[in-house]
Amino acid sequence: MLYSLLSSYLPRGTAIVLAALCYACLLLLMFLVADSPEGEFRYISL
Amino acid sequence: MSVATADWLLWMTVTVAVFWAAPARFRDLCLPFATLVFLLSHAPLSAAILMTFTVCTYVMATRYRSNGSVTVVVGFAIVLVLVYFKLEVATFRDDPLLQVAIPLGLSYYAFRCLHYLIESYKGTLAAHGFREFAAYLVFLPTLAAGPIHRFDEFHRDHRRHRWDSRRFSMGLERILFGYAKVVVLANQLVNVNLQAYISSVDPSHEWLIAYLRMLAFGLNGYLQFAGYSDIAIGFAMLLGYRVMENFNWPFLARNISEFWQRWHISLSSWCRNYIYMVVTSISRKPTLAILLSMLVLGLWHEISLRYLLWGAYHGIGIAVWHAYRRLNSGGAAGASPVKLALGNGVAVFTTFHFVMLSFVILHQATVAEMLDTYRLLLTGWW
Repeated sequence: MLYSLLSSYLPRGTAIVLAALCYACLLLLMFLVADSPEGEFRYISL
Repeated sequence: MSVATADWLLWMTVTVAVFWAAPARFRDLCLPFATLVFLLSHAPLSAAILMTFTVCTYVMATRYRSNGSVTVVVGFAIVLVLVYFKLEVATFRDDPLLQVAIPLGLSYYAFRCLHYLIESYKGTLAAHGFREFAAYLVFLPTLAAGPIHRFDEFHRDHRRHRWDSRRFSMGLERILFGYAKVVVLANQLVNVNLQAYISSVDPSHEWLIAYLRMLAFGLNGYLQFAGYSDIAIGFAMLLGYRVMENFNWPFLARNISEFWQRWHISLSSWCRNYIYMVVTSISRKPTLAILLSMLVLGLWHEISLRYLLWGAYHGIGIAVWHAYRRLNSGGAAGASPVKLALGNGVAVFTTFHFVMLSFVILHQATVAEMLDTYRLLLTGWW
């Protein structure tokens, strides 16, 4: 979605790099804000 | 290891960077190599088993393609290895040494091997070589937590493999959604906020506490696993592959049969294709086939009484639903839209609670505790 938006204004290479940076920042923000980002959940043992 | 860790994020980033930086003709070697390095550093035993499975399955499936006996023997050997380690885990659950000896992802790649063997015997697979099979079986994104994707889809993408910015962006978005489910919704909202609320409830409200605990357990399981699947699907997209969906809004299902078409789709469809269909065609007894499929599905998670009971619970649920549907075919014909919407709402609510109640079997440590919780949940609300 973000890439589609960016690529309509910017070259495709720039758009994908910018989109990747935005997603990485959001991910980082999520890890920083959450109290216990690394859960111990295991769906199955092996 | 959990995929909700910085460690896994790093592995994904390095694998994707190396994969696209490598010359095109070496890319299909990159994936098995990345998996091998990952497994050797996290679960060496799994690396050994996976490599053995890969070579043996391919050799047997190609050399004895139309030999039913060989397919059965190899399939049986794979199941034996899986059952052995499942029993080991069930017996020595608390042994810290076992953490080293657990073959990571065995349940997933064992079922992928069986799928490949059966389809190879049936002759439905497109022409391919060992490199393509190895790339499929040791595909890093789906190694640790599924989905149990199918060879044909993988092979199609493998043949047409090329850089696609749109798919790459969709992959990043999907990974973000996955982490949002795991980190924000499951770990934060359910495991921190909801658990804190449950702890603050007056202990005299026993029913409410038991009900909220049941919801918390079920929602946590769903969000974590759906999040893992999103991360795996997104990771595969970053490498240019499409992997089958594993969840499709399961809690909006209107009956238990529909629920299993929306929950852990890759496993439930595997069981439908390779257990339900086979047992039905041999025995002509669909109810028996449903029960057997759900028992295998339950035991796939863990060989234990609680998962056996959980599988039986869902198997009986689906069998009863099919019997009810046969008796009431065309029951909603001619109903007004309001009545239909109301009926759907009640159906979704009932199915949701039927599924949530099944998680009590998995949540409680003993049968006595399980029965106590059921007694409280079913009789304590009035």
